[in-house]
Amino acid sequence: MSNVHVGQVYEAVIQGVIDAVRVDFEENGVEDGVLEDLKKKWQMKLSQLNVAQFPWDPKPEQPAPPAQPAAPPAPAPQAAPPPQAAYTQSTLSPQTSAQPLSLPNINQPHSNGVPVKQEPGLVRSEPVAIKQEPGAGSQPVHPGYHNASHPSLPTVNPSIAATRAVQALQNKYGEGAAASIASMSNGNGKVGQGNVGQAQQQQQQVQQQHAQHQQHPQQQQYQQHPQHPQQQRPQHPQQIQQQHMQRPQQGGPQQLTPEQVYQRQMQQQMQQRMQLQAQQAQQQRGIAPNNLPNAQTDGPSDDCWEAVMMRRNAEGQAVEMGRVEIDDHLHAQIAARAKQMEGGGLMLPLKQATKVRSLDNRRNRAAGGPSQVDGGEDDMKDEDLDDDAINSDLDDSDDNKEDEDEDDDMGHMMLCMYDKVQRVKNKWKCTLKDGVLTVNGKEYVFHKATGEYEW
Amino acid sequence: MAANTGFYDLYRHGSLGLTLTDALDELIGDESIAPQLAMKVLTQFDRVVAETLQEKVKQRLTFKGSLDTYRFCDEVWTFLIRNVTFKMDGNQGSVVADKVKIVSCSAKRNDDK
Repeated sequence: MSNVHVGQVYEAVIQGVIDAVRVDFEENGVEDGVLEDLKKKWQMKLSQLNVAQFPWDPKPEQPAPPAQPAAPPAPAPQAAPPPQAAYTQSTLSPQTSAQPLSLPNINQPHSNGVPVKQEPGLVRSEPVAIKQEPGAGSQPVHPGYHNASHPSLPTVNPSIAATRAVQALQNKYGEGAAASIASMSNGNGKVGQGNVGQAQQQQQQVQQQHAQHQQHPQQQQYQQHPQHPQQQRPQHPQQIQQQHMQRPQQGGPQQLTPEQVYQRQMQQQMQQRMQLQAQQAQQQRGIAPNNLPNAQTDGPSDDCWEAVMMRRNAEGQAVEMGRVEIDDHLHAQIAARAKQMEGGGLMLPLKQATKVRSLDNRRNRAAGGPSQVDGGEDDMKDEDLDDDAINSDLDDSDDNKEDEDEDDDMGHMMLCMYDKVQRVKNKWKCTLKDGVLTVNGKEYVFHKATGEYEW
Repeated sequence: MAANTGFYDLYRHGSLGLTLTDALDELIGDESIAPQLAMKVLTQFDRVVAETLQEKVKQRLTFKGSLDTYRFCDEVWTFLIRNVTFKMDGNQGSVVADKVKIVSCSAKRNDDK
């Protein structure tokens, strides 16, 4: 059964309608282009239905329906809560995993479990932060500073620097630093042996820059260091003391001036702190310190690192502004967390409290400041509706059945005129004309139709 | 069911009419045309479809099946037929469908007006 005529007939209908309404369009002051637009839309929609071959379609195949509009771009990743870890956890939790001290260039048995999240930040920061002094990340760097005080630094073998950092960590924190050292060595393993030290430096700087935005006010002091190394000395006797303690152990192969040694050790200490705190944050996010792969945490931590780094990059000159923003963000998150923990400020019996919290979590994540009464009432309303529905259930079932029938038939439908409808007992006979029939996704037109069916 | 002009708006429920309605809706949404103008278009559509089907279509169709539901209301027959077999003249094979709904308006009344 062919429906080759349908296309011609529909074309004729379309043309007839367009011609007929042209006058109306003109009378209403509508441009001719709109009429053409109407015709095109009409034809396009018909083609999409794919009910027949239309003259306006390209001959061989129906045109593919126009591409769906692209899905709206995914919302920008939000900064994840992890940064606030630096605030909430006030003490270092001891690393109980007895992990052997692994030097950067030697065995790295756990490199598979590397927290991968650091990598993007590491790469991203490369063009920006290579030469920056730790602690100066969020401030415009003194241009003359590097040249003046680090003339010999580039000559230092990077791997030696890494080794020394590890050593210092070990000296200072003993067992507790094992994970930090491991993460340092992991960072090396990722980048490759060639630029081990550089990569590590970058990594540390990334961490430092990241950490600077979130750490205690006392860290603000450290930011002053690079610019005023001389003045800082008297203010930090403790660090100087540490420096003196470490000096004999570190007797490196190079001869450094005391000034350089001091600065390098300052740097190392800061790195240690940063790493420990960053690691602390990782722990809070659930990343196992022993580098066991923890599948679930990757996403949020990615967001965290990226967000912070991106912020900094985007800021460019307006660094102060950015810090304030980040602080505000952190503050809001902490406040939200605190509120959540105290149950929204309401003292409730345990049962109610848990119920409310589950409701809140479910529905009011976006709408901050949920009031618990709303949840309960909504549920009550639902129940009321259900009560009402009992009466109409009987009716509904019938209605639904009928609707279902009719809906199903929308796919197979004949619209026509009838000349005669006859019935003898249960046998029906009818004569129809001028019909449009839609069956199995195809359309047919007929001038006359006769149907015989039994009831 | 009968429109003022004497033509049924029955065919608006077919694919041709539905797509036209869709297109008109879009134009109204764009504020390209006024709703009243769209109604005029649909009225014209009722007439053009009826005339075109009368004048341009020559095919004949026969079908058989078992009648499930019949209804006659306001001069409109509605049949729900199951296990239908359609045949066009010129015996080009047949088309089978589980269920077909037939909505049919009186041809006489259309002719009278």
